[in-house]
Amino acid sequence: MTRRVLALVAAALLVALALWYGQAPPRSSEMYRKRAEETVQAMRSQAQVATFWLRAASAGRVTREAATVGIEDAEGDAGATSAEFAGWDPPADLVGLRDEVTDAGDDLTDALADVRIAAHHGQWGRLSEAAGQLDPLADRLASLGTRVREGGR
Amino acid sequence: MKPSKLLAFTLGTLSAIGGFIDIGDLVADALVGARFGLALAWVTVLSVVGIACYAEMSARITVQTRRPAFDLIRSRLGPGYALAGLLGALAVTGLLVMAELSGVALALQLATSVHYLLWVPVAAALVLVLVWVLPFETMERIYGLLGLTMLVFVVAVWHLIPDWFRLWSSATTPAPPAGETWPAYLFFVVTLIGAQMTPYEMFFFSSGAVESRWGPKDLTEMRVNVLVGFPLGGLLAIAIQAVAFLVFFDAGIQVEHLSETVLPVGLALGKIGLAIALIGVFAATFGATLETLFSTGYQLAQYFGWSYGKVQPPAQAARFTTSIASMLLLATALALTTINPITVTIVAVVFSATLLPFTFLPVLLVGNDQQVMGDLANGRLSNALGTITLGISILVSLAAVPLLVLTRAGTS
Repeated sequence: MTRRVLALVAAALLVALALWYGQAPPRSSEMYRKRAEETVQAMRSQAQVATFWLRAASAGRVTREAATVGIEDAEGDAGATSAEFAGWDPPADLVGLRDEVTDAGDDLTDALADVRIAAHHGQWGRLSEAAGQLDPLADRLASLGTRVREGGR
Repeated sequence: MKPSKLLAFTLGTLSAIGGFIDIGDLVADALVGARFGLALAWVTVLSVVGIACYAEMSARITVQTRRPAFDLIRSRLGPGYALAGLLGALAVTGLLVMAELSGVALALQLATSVHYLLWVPVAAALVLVLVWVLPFETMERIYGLLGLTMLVFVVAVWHLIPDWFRLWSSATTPAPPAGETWPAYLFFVVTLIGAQMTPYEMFFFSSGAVESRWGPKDLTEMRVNVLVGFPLGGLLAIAIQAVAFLVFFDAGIQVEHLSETVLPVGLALGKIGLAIALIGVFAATFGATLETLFSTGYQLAQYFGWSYGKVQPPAQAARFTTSIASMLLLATALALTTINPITVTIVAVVFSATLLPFTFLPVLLVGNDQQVMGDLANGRLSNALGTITLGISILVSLAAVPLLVLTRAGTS
Protein backbone atom coordinates (compact mmCIF):
# COMPACT_ATOMS: atom_id res chain seq x y z
CA MET A 1 0.00 0.00 0.00
CA THR A 2 2.81 2.41 1.03
CA ARG A 3 4.63 1.59 -2.21
CA ARG A 4 1.53 2.39 -4.24
CA VAL A 5 1.05 5.69 -2.44
CA LEU A 6 4.71 6.58 -3.01
CA ALA A 7 4.39 5.67 -6.69
CA LEU A 8 1.30 7.85 -7.00
CA VAL A 9 3.02 10.79 -5.27
CA ALA A 10 6.10 10.34 -7.49
CA ALA A 11 3.93 10.27 -10.62
CA ALA A 12 2.06 13.41 -9.52
CA LEU A 13 5.38 15.18 -8.81
CA LEU A 14 6.72 14.14 -12.19
CA VAL A 15 3.67 15.58 -13.94
CA ALA A 16 3.91 18.81 -11.91
CA LEU A 17 7.64 19.18 -12.72
CA ALA A 18 6.97 18.44 -16.38
CA LEU A 19 4.27 21.10 -16.52
CA TRP A 20 6.58 23.57 -14.77
CA TYR A 21 9.30 22.76 -17.34
CA GLY A 22 6.80 23.53 -20.10
CA GLN A 23 6.43 27.06 -18.74
CA ALA A 24 10.16 27.65 -18.35
CA PRO A 25 11.64 30.70 -20.14
CA PRO A 26 13.96 30.21 -23.15
CA ARG A 27 17.55 29.62 -22.03
CA SER A 28 19.52 29.79 -25.27
CA SER A 29 19.72 32.10 -28.29
CA GLU A 30 18.25 29.39 -30.50
CA MET A 31 15.31 28.85 -28.13
CA TYR A 32 14.79 32.60 -27.72
CA ARG A 33 14.68 33.05 -31.49
CA LYS A 34 12.17 30.18 -31.77
CA ARG A 35 9.93 31.76 -29.12
CA ALA A 36 10.23 35.09 -30.93
CA GLU A 37 9.05 33.45 -34.14
CA GLU A 38 6.11 31.80 -32.35
CA THR A 39 5.20 35.10 -30.68
CA VAL A 40 5.22 36.95 -33.99
CA GLN A 41 3.12 34.22 -35.66
CA ALA A 42 0.58 34.37 -32.83
CA MET A 43 0.36 38.16 -33.00
CA ARG A 44 -0.08 38.06 -36.78
CA SER A 45 -2.89 35.53 -36.28
CA GLN A 46 -4.53 37.86 -33.74
CA ALA A 47 -4.32 40.81 -36.16
CA GLN A 48 -5.86 38.74 -38.93
CA VAL A 49 -8.68 37.30 -36.87
CA ALA A 50 -9.64 40.83 -35.75
CA THR A 51 -9.66 41.86 -39.43
CA PHE A 52 -11.96 38.92 -40.25
CA TRP A 53 -14.41 40.02 -37.53
CA LEU A 54 -14.30 43.65 -38.64
CA ARG A 55 -14.90 42.83 -42.30
CA ALA A 56 -17.67 40.36 -41.43
CA ALA A 57 -19.37 42.94 -39.18
CA SER A 58 -19.05 45.66 -41.84
CA ALA A 59 -20.61 43.33 -44.41
CA GLY A 60 -23.44 42.47 -42.01
CA ARG A 61 -22.42 38.78 -41.91
CA VAL A 62 -22.10 38.63 -38.10
CA THR A 63 -23.82 40.44 -35.25
CA ARG A 64 -22.12 43.43 -33.64
CA GLU A 65 -22.24 41.63 -30.29
CA ALA A 66 -20.28 38.66 -31.63
CA ALA A 67 -17.82 40.91 -33.48
CA THR A 68 -17.21 42.94 -30.31
CA VAL A 69 -16.37 39.73 -28.42
CA GLY A 70 -14.09 38.57 -31.23
CA ILE A 71 -12.21 41.88 -31.20
CA GLU A 72 -11.91 41.85 -27.40
CA ASP A 73 -10.54 38.30 -27.55
CA ALA A 74 -7.95 39.31 -30.16
CA GLU A 75 -6.87 42.35 -28.14
CA GLY A 76 -6.59 40.32 -24.92
CA ASP A 77 -4.53 37.65 -26.66
CA ALA A 78 -2.24 40.17 -28.35
CA GLY A 79 -1.56 41.89 -25.01
CA ALA A 80 -0.90 38.59 -23.23
CA THR A 81 1.32 37.22 -26.01
CA SER A 82 3.39 40.39 -26.19
CA ALA A 83 3.68 40.69 -22.40
CA GLU A 84 4.80 37.07 -22.02
CA PHE A 85 7.57 37.55 -24.57
CA ALA A 86 8.60 40.88 -23.06
CA GLY A 87 8.94 39.14 -19.66
CA TRP A 88 11.75 36.86 -20.88
CA ASP A 89 15.30 38.19 -20.61
CA PRO A 90 16.93 38.07 -24.06
CA PRO A 91 20.47 36.74 -24.62
CA ALA A 92 22.94 39.65 -25.01
CA ASP A 93 23.04 39.30 -28.81
CA LEU A 94 19.26 39.39 -29.21
CA VAL A 95 18.26 42.52 -27.28
CA GLY A 96 17.40 44.20 -30.59
CA LEU A 97 15.11 41.34 -31.55
CA ARG A 98 13.26 41.71 -28.26
CA ASP A 99 12.75 45.43 -28.91
CA GLU A 100 11.46 44.81 -32.41
CA VAL A 101 8.99 42.10 -31.34
CA THR A 102 7.69 44.00 -28.33
CA ASP A 103 7.35 47.21 -30.37
CA ALA A 104 5.26 45.34 -32.94
CA GLY A 105 3.22 43.83 -30.08
CA ASP A 106 2.62 47.28 -28.54
CA ASP A 107 1.52 48.71 -31.90
CA LEU A 108 -0.86 45.80 -32.46
CA THR A 109 -2.34 46.07 -28.96
CA ASP A 110 -2.83 49.82 -29.39
CA ALA A 111 -4.52 49.34 -32.78
CA LEU A 112 -6.82 46.64 -31.40
CA ALA A 113 -7.65 48.80 -28.37
CA ASP A 114 -8.70 51.62 -30.73
CA VAL A 115 -10.94 49.18 -32.61
CA ARG A 116 -12.44 47.86 -29.37
CA ILE A 117 -13.18 51.39 -28.11
CA ALA A 118 -14.81 52.32 -31.43
CA ALA A 119 -16.94 49.16 -31.26
CA HIS A 120 -17.99 49.92 -27.66
CA HIS A 121 -18.90 53.48 -28.73
CA GLY A 122 -21.00 52.08 -31.55
CA GLN A 123 -18.88 53.82 -34.21
CA TRP A 124 -19.29 50.94 -36.64
CA GLY A 125 -18.79 53.19 -39.64
CA ARG A 126 -15.14 53.63 -38.60
CA LEU A 127 -14.45 49.92 -38.39
CA SER A 128 -13.76 49.08 -42.02
CA GLU A 129 -11.19 51.89 -41.96
CA ALA A 130 -9.74 50.33 -38.79
CA ALA A 131 -9.57 46.95 -40.54
CA GLY A 132 -7.46 48.65 -43.22
CA GLN A 133 -5.02 49.80 -40.51
CA LEU A 134 -4.59 46.27 -39.25
CA ASP A 135 -3.50 44.95 -42.66
CA PRO A 136 -0.09 46.75 -42.70
CA LEU A 137 0.51 45.54 -39.13
CA ALA A 138 -0.18 41.95 -40.18
CA ASP A 139 2.22 42.40 -43.13
CA ARG A 140 4.88 43.85 -40.83
CA LEU A 141 4.51 40.87 -38.48
CA ALA A 142 4.67 38.43 -41.40
CA SER A 143 7.88 40.04 -42.65
CA LEU A 144 9.39 40.06 -39.13
CA GLY A 145 8.46 36.39 -38.71
CA THR A 146 10.21 35.48 -41.95
CA ARG A 147 13.37 37.33 -40.94
CA VAL A 148 13.44 35.68 -37.50
CA ARG A 149 12.93 32.25 -39.07
CA GLU A 150 15.71 32.79 -41.56
CA GLY A 151 18.09 33.77 -38.78
CA GLY A 152 18.53 37.45 -39.59
CA ARG A 153 16.95 40.18 -37.61
CA MET B 1 -42.81 -0.77 -36.25
CA LYS B 2 -45.21 1.30 -34.12
CA PRO B 3 -45.05 5.09 -34.69
CA SER B 4 -44.26 5.66 -30.98
CA LYS B 5 -41.34 3.20 -31.16
CA LEU B 6 -40.08 4.82 -34.36
CA LEU B 7 -40.25 8.21 -32.66
CA ALA B 8 -38.26 6.88 -29.69
CA PHE B 9 -35.60 5.51 -32.10
CA THR B 10 -35.40 8.78 -34.00
CA LEU B 11 -35.25 10.92 -30.87
CA GLY B 12 -32.58 8.70 -29.31
CA THR B 13 -30.41 8.78 -32.43
CA LEU B 14 -30.81 12.52 -32.88
CA SER B 15 -29.89 12.99 -29.20
CA ALA B 16 -26.75 10.90 -29.71
CA ILE B 17 -25.72 13.10 -32.67
CA GLY B 18 -26.28 16.33 -30.75
CA GLY B 19 -24.80 14.90 -27.55
CA PHE B 20 -21.52 13.84 -29.20
CA ILE B 21 -20.13 17.39 -29.35
CA ASP B 22 -18.91 19.19 -26.22
CA ILE B 23 -16.52 22.05 -25.42
CA GLY B 24 -13.51 19.78 -25.98
CA ASP B 25 -14.68 18.99 -29.52
CA LEU B 26 -15.63 22.57 -30.30
CA VAL B 27 -12.20 23.85 -29.33
CA ALA B 28 -10.04 20.94 -30.48
CA ASP B 29 -11.73 20.49 -33.87
CA ALA B 30 -11.50 24.16 -34.82
CA LEU B 31 -7.93 24.40 -33.56
CA VAL B 32 -6.90 21.28 -35.47
CA GLY B 33 -8.73 22.31 -38.66
CA ALA B 34 -7.05 25.73 -38.68
CA ARG B 35 -3.55 24.29 -38.23
CA PHE B 36 -3.65 20.87 -39.88
CA GLY B 37 -6.62 21.02 -42.26
CA LEU B 38 -8.26 17.61 -42.42
CA ALA B 39 -4.99 15.77 -41.85
CA LEU B 40 -6.36 14.59 -38.49
CA ALA B 41 -9.86 13.63 -39.68
CA TRP B 42 -8.80 9.97 -39.45
CA VAL B 43 -8.46 10.44 -35.67
CA THR B 44 -12.14 11.39 -35.49
CA VAL B 45 -13.06 8.26 -37.46
CA LEU B 46 -10.93 6.16 -35.11
CA SER B 47 -12.43 7.83 -32.02
CA VAL B 48 -15.99 7.29 -33.25
CA VAL B 49 -15.33 3.59 -33.85
CA GLY B 50 -13.65 3.25 -30.42
CA ILE B 51 -16.25 5.11 -28.36
CA ALA B 52 -19.17 3.47 -30.22
CA CYS B 53 -17.63 0.05 -29.56
CA TYR B 54 -17.20 0.67 -25.82
CA ALA B 55 -20.53 2.48 -25.41
CA GLU B 56 -22.30 -0.49 -27.03
CA MET B 57 -20.30 -2.91 -24.88
CA SER B 58 -20.97 -1.07 -21.62
CA ALA B 59 -24.70 -0.79 -22.40
CA ARG B 60 -24.82 -4.54 -23.15
CA ILE B 61 -23.05 -5.23 -19.85
CA THR B 62 -25.53 -3.02 -18.02
CA VAL B 63 -28.48 -4.78 -19.63
CA GLN B 64 -27.06 -8.13 -18.55
CA THR B 65 -25.71 -7.29 -15.07
CA ARG B 66 -27.85 -4.26 -14.14
CA ARG B 67 -24.63 -2.72 -12.85
CA PRO B 68 -22.90 0.41 -14.21
CA ALA B 69 -19.26 0.84 -15.25
CA PHE B 70 -17.71 2.13 -12.02
CA ASP B 71 -19.37 -0.56 -9.95
CA LEU B 72 -17.81 -3.14 -12.28
CA ILE B 73 -14.36 -1.60 -12.12
CA ARG B 74 -14.38 -1.89 -8.34
CA SER B 75 -15.66 -5.46 -8.19
CA ARG B 76 -13.49 -6.68 -11.07
CA LEU B 77 -10.13 -5.06 -10.34
CA GLY B 78 -10.35 -4.29 -6.63
CA PRO B 79 -10.87 -1.16 -4.53
CA GLY B 80 -7.25 0.09 -4.89
CA TYR B 81 -7.40 0.19 -8.70
CA ALA B 82 -10.90 1.64 -8.56
CA LEU B 83 -9.84 4.34 -6.07
CA ALA B 84 -6.95 5.44 -8.31
CA GLY B 85 -9.36 5.51 -11.24
CA LEU B 86 -11.92 7.42 -9.17
CA LEU B 87 -9.45 10.14 -8.16
CA GLY B 88 -8.18 10.56 -11.72
CA ALA B 89 -11.67 10.53 -13.24
CA LEU B 90 -12.99 12.99 -10.64
CA ALA B 91 -10.13 15.43 -11.25
CA VAL B 92 -10.54 15.36 -15.03
CA THR B 93 -14.35 15.37 -15.01
CA GLY B 94 -14.35 18.19 -12.45
CA LEU B 95 -12.17 20.29 -14.77
CA LEU B 96 -14.50 19.44 -17.64
CA VAL B 97 -17.57 20.56 -15.64
CA MET B 98 -15.84 23.93 -15.25
CA ALA B 99 -14.91 24.03 -18.94
CA GLU B 100 -18.42 23.10 -20.12
CA LEU B 101 -20.03 25.63 -17.77
CA SER B 102 -17.68 28.28 -19.13
CA GLY B 103 -18.66 27.15 -22.65
CA VAL B 104 -22.31 27.90 -21.86
CA ALA B 105 -21.27 31.32 -20.55
CA LEU B 106 -19.08 31.97 -23.62
CA ALA B 107 -22.00 31.16 -25.96
CA LEU B 108 -24.15 33.65 -24.03
CA GLN B 109 -21.33 36.21 -24.21
CA LEU B 110 -21.17 35.86 -28.00
CA ALA B 111 -24.92 36.41 -28.22
CA THR B 112 -24.99 39.45 -25.93
CA SER B 113 -21.40 40.79 -25.67
CA VAL B 114 -21.83 40.75 -21.86
CA HIS B 115 -18.62 39.30 -20.32
CA TYR B 116 -18.76 35.55 -19.80
CA LEU B 117 -17.82 35.76 -16.11
CA LEU B 118 -21.16 37.49 -15.49
CA TRP B 119 -22.93 34.60 -17.21
CA VAL B 120 -21.16 31.83 -15.27
CA PRO B 121 -23.34 32.09 -12.10
CA VAL B 122 -26.47 32.43 -14.27
CA ALA B 123 -25.54 29.29 -16.21
CA ALA B 124 -24.83 27.43 -12.94
CA ALA B 125 -28.21 28.47 -11.50
CA LEU B 126 -29.95 27.35 -14.70
CA VAL B 127 -28.20 23.96 -14.51
CA LEU B 128 -29.25 23.54 -10.87
CA VAL B 129 -32.89 24.41 -11.58
CA LEU B 130 -33.14 22.10 -14.59
CA VAL B 131 -31.48 19.22 -12.75
CA TRP B 132 -34.01 19.67 -9.97
CA VAL B 133 -37.09 20.11 -12.14
CA LEU B 134 -36.76 18.05 -15.32
CA PRO B 135 -36.86 14.26 -15.63
CA PHE B 136 -33.70 12.52 -16.87
CA GLU B 137 -34.95 11.54 -20.33
CA THR B 138 -36.55 14.91 -21.07
CA MET B 139 -33.32 16.70 -20.16
CA GLU B 140 -31.27 14.40 -22.40
CA ARG B 141 -33.64 14.77 -25.35
CA ILE B 142 -33.98 18.56 -25.13
CA TYR B 143 -30.28 19.33 -25.22
CA GLY B 144 -29.61 16.50 -27.69
CA LEU B 145 -32.18 17.83 -30.15
CA LEU B 146 -31.11 21.46 -29.71
CA GLY B 147 -27.53 20.30 -30.26
CA LEU B 148 -28.60 19.17 -33.73
CA THR B 149 -28.50 22.81 -34.75
CA MET B 150 -24.73 22.19 -34.90
CA LEU B 151 -25.45 20.66 -38.30
CA VAL B 152 -25.20 24.25 -39.49
CA PHE B 153 -21.42 23.59 -39.63
CA VAL B 154 -22.07 20.92 -42.30
CA VAL B 155 -24.18 23.38 -44.31
CA ALA B 156 -21.44 26.01 -43.89
CA VAL B 157 -18.91 23.69 -45.57
CA TRP B 158 -21.05 23.75 -48.73
CA HIS B 159 -21.62 27.49 -48.58
CA LEU B 160 -17.90 28.19 -48.35
CA ILE B 161 -17.64 26.60 -51.82
CA PRO B 162 -14.61 24.46 -51.04
CA ASP B 163 -12.12 22.92 -53.40
CA TRP B 164 -13.31 19.36 -52.77
CA PHE B 165 -10.14 17.86 -54.21
CA ARG B 166 -8.05 19.86 -51.74
CA LEU B 167 -10.26 18.76 -48.83
CA TRP B 168 -9.95 15.12 -49.91
CA SER B 169 -6.22 15.47 -50.40
CA SER B 170 -5.83 16.93 -46.90
CA ALA B 171 -8.01 14.20 -45.35
CA THR B 172 -6.01 11.45 -47.03
CA THR B 173 -2.60 12.83 -46.02
CA PRO B 174 -2.15 11.76 -42.40
CA ALA B 175 0.96 13.84 -41.81
CA PRO B 176 1.75 17.37 -40.60
CA PRO B 177 1.45 20.04 -43.31
CA ALA B 178 4.42 22.28 -44.17
CA GLY B 179 5.54 24.37 -41.21
CA GLU B 180 4.20 21.93 -38.59
CA THR B 181 6.21 19.31 -36.71
CA TRP B 182 5.50 15.65 -35.97
CA PRO B 183 5.46 16.18 -32.16
CA ALA B 184 2.81 18.91 -32.57
CA TYR B 185 0.83 16.68 -34.95
CA LEU B 186 0.97 13.78 -32.49
CA PHE B 187 0.02 16.06 -29.60
CA PHE B 188 -3.17 16.95 -31.46
CA VAL B 189 -3.82 13.27 -32.18
CA VAL B 190 -3.85 12.83 -28.39
CA THR B 191 -5.97 15.96 -27.90
CA LEU B 192 -8.60 14.84 -30.41
CA ILE B 193 -8.78 11.34 -28.94
CA GLY B 194 -9.09 12.86 -25.46
CA ALA B 195 -11.83 15.20 -26.66
CA GLN B 196 -13.81 12.57 -28.55
CA MET B 197 -13.37 9.43 -26.44
CA THR B 198 -14.15 10.76 -23.00
CA PRO B 199 -14.47 8.40 -19.99
CA TYR B 200 -17.35 10.46 -18.63
CA GLU B 201 -19.42 9.47 -21.68
CA MET B 202 -19.02 5.82 -20.63
CA PHE B 203 -19.97 6.47 -17.01
CA PHE B 204 -22.92 8.56 -18.07
CA PHE B 205 -24.06 6.10 -20.72
CA SER B 206 -23.96 3.03 -18.48
CA SER B 207 -25.39 4.81 -15.43
CA GLY B 208 -28.15 6.23 -17.61
CA ALA B 209 -28.93 2.70 -18.82
CA VAL B 210 -29.29 1.56 -15.20
CA GLU B 211 -31.48 4.55 -14.40
CA SER B 212 -33.71 3.94 -17.41
CA ARG B 213 -33.92 0.22 -16.45
CA TRP B 214 -32.87 -0.98 -19.88
CA GLY B 215 -33.63 -4.59 -20.64
CA PRO B 216 -32.78 -6.93 -23.55
CA LYS B 217 -35.67 -5.44 -25.56
CA ASP B 218 -33.93 -2.06 -25.51
CA LEU B 219 -30.72 -3.39 -27.05
CA THR B 220 -31.76 -2.69 -30.66
CA GLU B 221 -32.70 0.90 -29.87
CA MET B 222 -29.42 1.39 -28.00
CA ARG B 223 -27.41 -0.05 -30.91
CA VAL B 224 -29.15 2.16 -33.44
CA ASN B 225 -28.48 5.20 -31.25
CA VAL B 226 -24.81 4.33 -30.94
CA LEU B 227 -24.11 3.05 -34.45
CA VAL B 228 -25.96 5.83 -36.27
CA GLY B 229 -25.83 8.71 -33.76
CA PHE B 230 -22.10 8.61 -32.92
CA PRO B 231 -20.87 8.45 -36.55
CA LEU B 232 -23.12 11.36 -37.46
CA GLY B 233 -21.72 13.19 -34.41
CA GLY B 234 -18.27 12.45 -35.84
CA LEU B 235 -19.37 13.97 -39.14
CA LEU B 236 -20.23 17.16 -37.25
CA ALA B 237 -16.76 17.17 -35.70
CA ILE B 238 -15.16 16.81 -39.15
CA ALA B 239 -17.38 19.63 -40.46
CA ILE B 240 -16.03 21.92 -37.70
CA GLN B 241 -12.48 20.96 -38.74
CA ALA B 242 -13.37 21.58 -42.40
CA VAL B 243 -14.80 25.10 -41.95
CA ALA B 244 -11.82 26.11 -39.81
CA PHE B 245 -9.51 24.73 -42.53
CA LEU B 246 -11.33 26.60 -45.30
CA VAL B 247 -11.36 29.97 -43.52
CA PHE B 248 -8.25 30.02 -41.32
CA PHE B 249 -5.60 27.66 -42.70
CA ASP B 250 -4.29 29.79 -45.59
CA ALA B 251 -4.41 32.95 -43.45
CA GLY B 252 -2.24 31.22 -40.80
CA ILE B 253 -4.80 31.96 -38.07
CA GLN B 254 -4.47 30.00 -34.81
CA VAL B 255 -7.80 29.29 -33.11
CA GLU B 256 -7.68 30.33 -29.44
CA HIS B 257 -11.33 31.07 -28.59
CA LEU B 258 -14.82 29.73 -29.00
CA SER B 259 -15.62 32.91 -30.95
CA GLU B 260 -13.23 31.70 -33.66
CA THR B 261 -14.98 28.33 -33.83
CA VAL B 262 -18.26 29.98 -34.92
CA LEU B 263 -16.80 32.78 -37.07
CA PRO B 264 -16.59 30.62 -40.26
CA VAL B 265 -20.32 29.87 -39.97
CA GLY B 266 -21.07 33.60 -39.86
CA LEU B 267 -18.85 34.18 -42.89
CA ALA B 268 -20.60 31.38 -44.78
CA LEU B 269 -24.23 31.83 -43.75
CA GLY B 270 -24.54 35.29 -42.23
CA LYS B 271 -26.23 36.30 -38.99
CA ILE B 272 -28.89 33.57 -39.11
CA GLY B 273 -26.21 30.91 -39.49
CA LEU B 274 -24.22 32.42 -36.64
CA ALA B 275 -27.32 32.50 -34.41
CA ILE B 276 -28.07 28.83 -35.16
CA ALA B 277 -24.44 27.91 -34.45
CA LEU B 278 -24.61 29.75 -31.11
CA ILE B 279 -27.79 27.86 -30.16
CA GLY B 280 -25.92 24.66 -31.01
CA VAL B 281 -22.89 25.64 -28.94
CA PHE B 282 -25.14 26.58 -26.03
CA ALA B 283 -27.04 23.28 -26.22
CA ALA B 284 -23.91 21.16 -26.68
CA THR B 285 -22.04 22.72 -23.76
CA PHE B 286 -25.15 22.85 -21.55
CA GLY B 287 -25.83 19.18 -22.21
CA ALA B 288 -22.21 18.30 -21.56
CA THR B 289 -22.31 20.28 -18.29
CA LEU B 290 -25.18 18.07 -17.16
CA GLU B 291 -23.43 14.89 -18.34
CA THR B 292 -20.10 15.69 -16.68
CA LEU B 293 -21.84 16.82 -13.51
CA PHE B 294 -23.88 13.65 -13.27
CA SER B 295 -20.80 11.59 -14.06
CA THR B 296 -18.98 12.95 -11.00
CA GLY B 297 -21.99 12.05 -8.83
CA TYR B 298 -22.22 8.58 -10.41
CA GLN B 299 -18.49 7.93 -9.93
CA LEU B 300 -18.59 8.80 -6.21
CA ALA B 301 -21.90 7.04 -5.51
CA GLN B 302 -20.93 3.88 -7.35
CA TYR B 303 -17.55 3.63 -5.63
CA PHE B 304 -18.87 4.20 -2.11
CA GLY B 305 -22.11 2.29 -2.64
CA TRP B 306 -24.46 5.22 -2.07
CA SER B 307 -27.92 5.23 -3.54
CA TYR B 308 -27.90 7.42 -6.62
CA GLY B 309 -29.90 8.54 -9.56
CA LYS B 310 -31.89 11.24 -11.19
CA VAL B 311 -35.03 9.11 -11.16
CA GLN B 312 -35.09 9.15 -7.35
CA PRO B 313 -36.25 12.17 -5.36
CA PRO B 314 -33.20 14.16 -4.12
CA ALA B 315 -33.90 13.24 -0.48
CA GLN B 316 -33.69 9.52 -1.36
CA ALA B 317 -30.22 10.01 -2.80
CA ALA B 318 -29.02 12.80 -0.53
CA ARG B 319 -25.27 12.13 -0.81
CA PHE B 320 -25.47 11.82 -4.61
CA THR B 321 -27.42 15.08 -4.84
CA THR B 322 -25.03 16.82 -2.42
CA SER B 323 -21.98 15.69 -4.38
CA ILE B 324 -23.47 17.03 -7.62
CA ALA B 325 -24.38 20.35 -6.02
CA SER B 326 -20.90 20.62 -4.44
CA MET B 327 -19.18 19.90 -7.75
CA LEU B 328 -21.30 22.54 -9.47
CA LEU B 329 -20.36 25.06 -6.79
CA LEU B 330 -16.68 24.14 -7.08
CA ALA B 331 -16.75 24.38 -10.88
CA THR B 332 -18.47 27.78 -10.69
CA ALA B 333 -15.88 29.04 -8.21
CA LEU B 334 -13.04 27.74 -10.41
CA ALA B 335 -14.53 29.41 -13.50
CA LEU B 336 -14.84 32.69 -11.60
CA THR B 337 -11.11 32.71 -10.80
CA THR B 338 -10.76 33.95 -14.44
CA ILE B 339 -8.62 30.94 -15.37
CA ASN B 340 -8.72 30.55 -19.16
CA PRO B 341 -11.44 27.95 -19.89
CA ILE B 342 -9.90 27.05 -23.26
CA THR B 343 -6.54 26.23 -21.65
CA VAL B 344 -8.34 24.20 -18.98
CA THR B 345 -10.22 22.34 -21.73
CA ILE B 346 -7.03 21.41 -23.57
CA VAL B 347 -5.29 20.24 -20.38
CA ALA B 348 -8.42 18.33 -19.26
CA VAL B 349 -8.83 16.46 -22.55
CA VAL B 350 -5.13 15.52 -22.59
CA PHE B 351 -5.34 14.12 -19.05
CA SER B 352 -8.66 12.51 -19.95
CA ALA B 353 -6.79 10.66 -22.73
CA THR B 354 -4.32 9.31 -20.15
CA LEU B 355 -7.20 7.72 -18.20
CA LEU B 356 -8.80 5.92 -21.14
CA PRO B 357 -7.17 2.49 -20.66
CA PHE B 358 -8.21 2.42 -16.99
CA THR B 359 -11.83 2.80 -18.11
CA PHE B 360 -11.70 0.50 -21.13
CA LEU B 361 -9.88 -2.46 -19.57
CA PRO B 362 -12.53 -3.57 -17.02
CA VAL B 363 -15.32 -3.07 -19.58
CA LEU B 364 -13.50 -5.29 -22.08
CA LEU B 365 -12.78 -7.93 -19.40
CA VAL B 366 -16.40 -8.12 -18.27
CA GLY B 367 -17.73 -7.99 -21.83
CA ASN B 368 -15.62 -11.08 -22.57
CA ASP B 369 -16.68 -13.02 -19.50
CA GLN B 370 -19.03 -15.77 -20.74
CA GLN B 371 -20.11 -16.62 -17.17
CA VAL B 372 -21.30 -13.10 -16.49
CA MET B 373 -22.50 -12.15 -19.96
CA GLY B 374 -23.93 -15.41 -21.29
CA ASP B 375 -25.38 -14.88 -24.78
CA LEU B 376 -24.60 -11.17 -24.63
CA ALA B 377 -20.82 -11.71 -24.35
CA ASN B 378 -18.58 -9.96 -26.90
CA GLY B 379 -18.45 -11.42 -30.39
CA ARG B 380 -15.33 -11.43 -32.57
CA LEU B 381 -15.97 -7.98 -34.00
CA SER B 382 -16.53 -6.39 -30.57
CA ASN B 383 -13.41 -8.08 -29.22
CA ALA B 384 -11.24 -7.12 -32.17
CA LEU B 385 -12.37 -3.47 -32.13
CA GLY B 386 -12.25 -3.32 -28.32
CA THR B 387 -8.71 -4.74 -28.19
CA ILE B 388 -7.41 -2.44 -30.93
CA THR B 389 -9.02 0.58 -29.21
CA LEU B 390 -7.53 -0.47 -25.86
CA GLY B 391 -4.07 -0.82 -27.46
CA ILE B 392 -4.35 2.64 -29.02
CA SER B 393 -5.57 4.12 -25.75
CA ILE B 394 -2.54 2.68 -23.92
CA LEU B 395 -0.17 4.28 -26.46
CA VAL B 396 -2.06 7.57 -26.18
CA SER B 397 -1.99 7.38 -22.39
CA LEU B 398 1.78 6.89 -22.33
CA ALA B 399 2.49 9.62 -24.90
CA ALA B 400 0.07 12.28 -23.63
CA VAL B 401 2.08 14.02 -20.89
CA PRO B 402 5.49 13.83 -22.66
CA LEU B 403 3.91 15.37 -25.78
CA LEU B 404 2.15 18.02 -23.68
CA VAL B 405 5.51 19.07 -22.24
CA LEU B 406 7.59 18.65 -25.41
CA THR B 407 5.26 20.80 -27.51
CA ARG B 408 4.23 23.19 -24.70
CA ALA B 409 0.62 22.12 -25.20
CA GLY B 410 0.95 22.24 -28.97
CA THR B 411 2.26 25.79 -29.14
CA SER B 412 5.71 24.89 -30.46
